Formats: sequence, structure tokens, C-alpha cells
Amino acid sequence: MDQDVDGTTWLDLGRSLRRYAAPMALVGCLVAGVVTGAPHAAASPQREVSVAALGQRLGQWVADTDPAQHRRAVERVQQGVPPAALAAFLAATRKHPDAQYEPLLARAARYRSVNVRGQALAALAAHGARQAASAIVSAADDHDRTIRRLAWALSKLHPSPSSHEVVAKMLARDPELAEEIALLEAPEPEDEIIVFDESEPAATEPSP
Amino acid sequence: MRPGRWRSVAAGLFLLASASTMTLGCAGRMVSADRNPHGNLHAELARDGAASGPTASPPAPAVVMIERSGARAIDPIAGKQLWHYPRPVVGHPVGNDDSVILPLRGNRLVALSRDTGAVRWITQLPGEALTGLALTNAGPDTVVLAAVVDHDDGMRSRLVALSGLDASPLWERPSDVQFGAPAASGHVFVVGVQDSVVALRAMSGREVARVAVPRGDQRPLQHVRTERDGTLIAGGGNHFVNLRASTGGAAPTPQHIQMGYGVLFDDDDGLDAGFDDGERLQLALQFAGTGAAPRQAVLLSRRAVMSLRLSPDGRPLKARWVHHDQYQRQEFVAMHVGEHRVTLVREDGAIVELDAQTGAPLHTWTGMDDAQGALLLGLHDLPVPERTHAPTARQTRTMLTRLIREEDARLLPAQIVAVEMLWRSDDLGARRIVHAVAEELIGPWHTESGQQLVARAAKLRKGPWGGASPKELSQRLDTLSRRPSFLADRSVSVADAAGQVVKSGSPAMVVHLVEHLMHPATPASDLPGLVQALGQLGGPAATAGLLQFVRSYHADPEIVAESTAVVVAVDYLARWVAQGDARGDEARATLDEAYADPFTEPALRVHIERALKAIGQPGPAAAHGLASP
Repeated sequence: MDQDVDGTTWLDLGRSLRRYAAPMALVGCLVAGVVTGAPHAAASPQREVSVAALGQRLGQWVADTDPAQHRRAVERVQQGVPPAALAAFLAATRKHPDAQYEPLLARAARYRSVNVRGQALAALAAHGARQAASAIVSAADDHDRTIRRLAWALSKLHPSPSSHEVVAKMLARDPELAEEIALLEAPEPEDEIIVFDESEPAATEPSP
Repeated sequence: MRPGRWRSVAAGLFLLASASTMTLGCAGRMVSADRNPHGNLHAELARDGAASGPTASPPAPAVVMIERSGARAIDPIAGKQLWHYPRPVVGHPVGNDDSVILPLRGNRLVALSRDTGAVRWITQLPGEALTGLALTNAGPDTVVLAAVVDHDDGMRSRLVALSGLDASPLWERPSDVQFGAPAASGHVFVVGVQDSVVALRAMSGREVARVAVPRGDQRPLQHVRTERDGTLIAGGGNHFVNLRASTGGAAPTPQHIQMGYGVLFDDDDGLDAGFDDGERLQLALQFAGTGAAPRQAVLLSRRAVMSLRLSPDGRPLKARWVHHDQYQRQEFVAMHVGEHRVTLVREDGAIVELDAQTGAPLHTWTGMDDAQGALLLGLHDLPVPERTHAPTARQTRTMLTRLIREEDARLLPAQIVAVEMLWRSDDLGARRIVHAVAEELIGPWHTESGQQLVARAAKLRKGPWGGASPKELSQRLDTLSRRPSFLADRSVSVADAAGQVVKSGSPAMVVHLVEHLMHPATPASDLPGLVQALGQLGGPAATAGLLQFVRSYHADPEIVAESTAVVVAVDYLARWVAQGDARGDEARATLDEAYADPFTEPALRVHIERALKAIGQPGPAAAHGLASP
């Protein structure tokens, strides 16, 4: 489900970035992984194309400036859509926040698929400080570590005392994730700097 | 005078003094309302209860009918008249194996032979009105106790004890407050005095024990009465204490029968005005062994009789049987609940006997004249010749439904209890009848009393259902209100709880079931159970939950495949479509949408089509012209 088109998961991408990626990159990585789709193993290629097309159409409706298109997107999602298309919709709402999406985002934040849940929480956090705090609490309390990792990333993007507290509690309960996060937060090893002692005469190229 | 003569005079004076002391007894010594508890009531009752055990040859049972112009005794076994007394009776009579005492106009009492009706004596009681009578067992020391209201000398009430043999006065005890109606247990009289129950020796009037009884609902102890197997209860309204369960001067635990209809003690002003309308709605308790709490009760409700099982805290749990003859329009005016038989007296004077365990009619004796009430004597030891099987739950449900369906305002109390019993059933099918009443699908809803029944059913539907106690429901709600939480290190399995909610639950629990169904951490193995519970419950919240579940996941191949939950949900939606009510329309719309959605899992689409066909509904494409994707 979390597999990208080239076989790597967005989680793996996140790990590969661990020393260099900022939390924003981690959230972005999550989005990138989902938008590209997570086709079901048994799904036909034709269905994949249709689902991708639906996701794309939902994204376009959300990005549109016409409010009627926004309502159209909401109505279609309310009828129920495949998870990949839902994730595409959620990703689009993250870029184009609107209060009318919030009930759908809150519902999607409890979707059984981890992928959809992560997208929904990230999109919800993009809707304001209050929504971000709520998303962080939900993510930190999630039974899936991937979503808990997202809680940390969101807390860096939307810092607040309450989110700091809940993430600290989460890390205390999950030592493995805490270790992983510690590596991410460790300062980059500085490049070796060659210090020149100006008191000494600079070496000069021996004249030929 | 010779010394011997002086001795004789002295002996005579001593005997006279002794005799007058015995005659006057405790006259003048007041029974105070606020004296401290003392003695051991339990021991007194136990001792006298043992002394009053069954006699070697108990007399034949008798039903003393109180008619408009007199009293008539009937042998309920043979159905023959024993005697007739042609003077109006104005209060509740009492009797023992030997005599029947009838209160007459003018505050008089008459004692009749129980077997022949021969008058033994007639006497005038002091005071202005009668509160109640009690009579000890048959024998040479039989004592009649009358509680009378007396406003002379600033005294409000008086106990007057008379010899059962010749009505000669034995003792009197005044009180500054009003006594309740007394009862006799062996050679002890028990009477309520405001917040206390006092035991008095029958022959002397000496107070031998007293217990303080907390008032259940701020009512005075108006009555003390003897239930089946000799259990003495004291109370007012539906509050009572079991006096046999009291120990020493300690206060017995007050108990309450939690019923809106049918009272243990008729609320009156403390005066015995005879048989009245309220007695046609009465409750008799059946105590199990020495237990302090009654486990069963029989409700007399005018034309219907219902046997109920009670919870330890006095809540009616379920109906055991119902006696209700839709072709017989007369009301019952008196009831005696024995171990084996329930004996009823109808207002046309007929005597109806039922099997106390099964409710099966045993026989009916046609009445001779209309009866206002009756005293039933010596009926409790008669076994039933051939016992039928107790009704099954389904048969009882049918009896209750038949009772609900009849249009008669006089049956409303019984019908309301019937609806309550159906709602407290753990059986979903029984509760559906209550839904049908609330939705005016069954019952006499076009009458005023029918509308009251509909309103009651509608109110019940908003509250808890099933037979669980409030404590059990609270625990169940507490379990369901917990969600899986990583931070709280909590994973929750609610499959069992969901099944329990179907039996007994509350509307708040349905909301929690929906929350668990939609919670991402709920194990996939729990989902079918949750869907099934919501489908069975089927209320507005459950319906909305299942519709949302199908809409959310019908196009998710993984969720459709991980359990049977979505398929089971579709089955329930199809069932609601078949029922054709409001939720059926919503269900049909959701199924149509899911069927028309090109992203719906193909296997699920096939299942939707089959489910609709199975209930005789046209397929979505045929019904709505939607092309199959």
C-alpha cells in the first residue's frame, strides 16, 4: 500500500533522508509517495488508470478557483472513493486549504489505510494552528509508527507547547522512534576545515 | 372478724386488683412515636411464627366476598356458598382458622364463625373511625386488635385489644400520633408508628420490640401486612421493609419496587374506608426463602394479572406469565398469591384460580352477586393437581403483545407494564414490538389511552434497553467509551461488548459502537461483530454508522477483502430496504450509489445485486436506469 511506483516506500524515502531532510521534507515525502498512487496488487491496470484519473480530477477541482468545483469535489469524496484517489484529494487540500474540507479531513484522519490517514493529518495541519494541534495529538496517539513519525514532523512545522508536550510523551513511549528522531535532529558533522596559521609563512610553490 | 375471713377479703381484693390490671392492661400507657429501638423484633417474630405453625387439621379454605349489602363466604374448592351475612361491611375484614371479624357501620365489629357464619358477638369500638384490624390465630387466647382514630383528650389514635372469644376488652394503648394498619404474627401484633415498627404482646399489649424504619419516600408507615410464607412487610406506597429480615433493634434495609403502576400499599389517609378502586391495581410480593428481597411479584391490574421476576434492587426484569381474557370484561377486585395458586375474585363474584407458576387457569366458579372486595382465607397450601409447563419466552411475548393490542383504557396500566417488560427483554424481537408500538404499527393508538401507550413506548426507546442493571450498564458504557490509544498503551477489543449491547444497552453505547467501527485501530476481526450489532440495533445512530461505513469503504479493495464487515453491512442495508421504512430509503440510495460507482469492488457490486434480488427488490440498474460500469 505504501509502495511507490519504483518499489520504494515513502517511509524508506524518509529514512534515507533522515540525516539531511528537514521535517518539511518528510511531510513532502509522504505526499509524494501517496500522490503517485499505491495501487492494490490485485487491481487491473485499467482500474489503476481510472483511479489515478479520478485523483487527478479531484485535485484539479480543489485547485480550481471556482467554489462550485470545490463543492463538486466534496460531494464526490462523500460518496466514497478509492484510497489512492482520496489521498490525491487530501494532498490537494493541503495545498489549497479551505474550511469546507475540514469535516472530510477529520473523517479521513480515521481511515483504516495508513497512507490516507497520514495525508489527512498533514492536510488538516495545513488548515491552521488549532487544526495542527489536533492533528499532532491524533498522530501521536496512532498505533502506527509511520503516523507517529508524522506527529514529530508536524510538531516541527507547527510548534506549540502542547504539541511539544504530546510529542515528548509519544517519544517516551516509543524509544525506537525517539532514537530515530534523535539521529534526524543531530547536528550535521561539519566539513573538515583547514585552518591556516597566518603566523607561519605560507608555503610557496618552489620555484622551478 | 375472724383472721381467716380477713385473709379471704385480702385475697379477694388482690384477685380483684389483679383482674382489673389484667382487664385494663396497659391502658393509659402511651405508645410513643419517638422511643428508641429496643428488643429483638426478628426473634419475637421467629418465636411466634414457629408457635403459629400449621395446625393438625387446617379448616377448609374460604373466600369471604364483600358485597354491597353484606358478606358471603364461598368454599373455593367446591364452589359452594358457606354462609351469608346480610349487613353492609364498611372496612377490611380479618379472619383466622376459626373466625371472621367484619367491621360494620357505627364503628362496630361483628365476629362470625368461619364455617357457619353464626354470629359470636357484636361490639362497639371506641373512637371515631377504624384504621385497621388484626387477628391472632385461632384458639382460646385469640385476640382482635383494632387501631382506631380518637380525637378525645388530645390523643390521635388508640389500639384496642379485645378477646376473640367474647369481645371483652383486654388492653388499650393510646398514642399521640396515628397508628398504621396493624398485622398479627403468631401472638404478637406489629404496628407502624410514624418511623418505627412496634411489636406488642397480643395478650398484654406490652411492647416487646421496636425497630426504627427509615422512610423510603417520606411517607409514614401506613401498613404492616403478611405476604406469602409469613413474611411481614411494613411500608407505604411502593416502599417497604422486610421485618423478618431485621435483626434486633437495627433498622431493616428499606426497599422499593420500581414500578410506575401497581402499589404494595394503597395510599390512603390512614382510615379503613373499605374496598376501593385502588385495590384493583395492586402488587403482591413473593419472597424466596429467607431472603430479604422479593424475587417475584404478581401485579393485579384490573382485568389482567402479570407475574414478574424482580431484580435484587426491586426492578421488574421480565414477565413470567400474563393472565388476560379478552372476552371477559369484568375486573378483578381481590387477589391472593399462594405458593401454588393465585386466587382472584372478580367483580361479578366469580372466583378464578390460576397456577402460580405458569398462569394456567385452573378453574372458575361463577359468582352469586357482585363483589366489591374479598378476604381470602386458608388458600396457600393447596397444591395444583396437574402442572402445565411454564410459558416459553416466545409464548410470554405473545401474551404481552395480545394484551397491548386490546383497546380498553382500563388495561392501560397493565399495557404500560407489558411494554416496559418487552423493552427490558434481552431479546431483540421483543423490543421490536415496542418499536412497533412507538411507530403506531400495533396497538389501539387511535384512543386516548392508546396514545399514552405510544408516548410511553416512544419514551422507552430513548432510554436503556434490556435487563441489565444500571450498574452493569454503567460498566458497559465505561468499557465502550475507551478507544485504542498508543499514548495510554491501550488496545481495545469490543466484539464481545458489541454483542452485549444488543441484549442490554443504551443509546450512548450505539454512538460508541459506531466510533469503534470507524476507528482505524479497531482490529479487522472485530468489524463484522460491530456491523452485526449495529445492524441488529438499527436505530438512527446505528443506521447512520452503517451507511457511512459502506460509503467510506465500498471502493477500497483492501478493506472489502480484510473482513466480511462491508458485505454484512450491505446485507443489513438490504434488509432495511425490505422493511420499507424511512431508513430503508436511505439504505436503498446508498446501495444504488455504491452499485453505480465504477470504483466499487466488483465482488461487492455482485453482492449488492444479489442482496436486493433476495428481498424481491429490482436491481439498481433496472430500478434507476444506471448503466453497469
